[in-house]
Amino acid sequence: MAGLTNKEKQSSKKYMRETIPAIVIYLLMVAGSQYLLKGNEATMWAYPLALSPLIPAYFIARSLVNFVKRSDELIQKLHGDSAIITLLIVIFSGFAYGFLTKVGLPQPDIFWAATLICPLYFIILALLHRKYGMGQC
Amino acid sequence: MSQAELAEQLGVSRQTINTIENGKYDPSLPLAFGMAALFGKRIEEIFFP
Repeated sequence: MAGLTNKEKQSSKKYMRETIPAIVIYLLMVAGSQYLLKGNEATMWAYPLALSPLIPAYFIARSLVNFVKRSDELIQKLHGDSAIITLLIVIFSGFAYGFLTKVGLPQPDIFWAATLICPLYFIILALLHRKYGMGQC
Repeated sequence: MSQAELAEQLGVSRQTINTIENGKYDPSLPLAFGMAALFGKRIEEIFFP
């Protein structure tokens, strides 16, 4: 973390401390819930079990929001711009694909559509960093 | 004064200082006032339209 101020280093460390365990727990809960749901889809526990990975996912999202809140104005601007651009791309892509389903394309799986938003956000964030001549996200 | 030291004193990232120096980002008014106060100059002496 060369060239970072002490405040940035502390903020980054805190972000890692909050996010990495949440990601690990999320992956474990996804795998675990999918394993337990096999053959048990009709039980009363199916719905809460299927939704259980959202709990660590909430903490991942919260740690990102807190990291951005702790950041300075330029970093906040970049994250805000990335969020807006991602939203617009998703909206237009959704409309475009929706129109295409009327001419025969298969219905999309919402899970994968939502999953692709995350890397799209960070790709756009990286492009904005390059635009401002910044070396790292 | 290095970019890192300036960033530390202003409470922003070194990347922000670098981007301002390269003219790729215009700081907010509070940050601009902070920079002016740090250098003991007026904003108009540091930033130009």
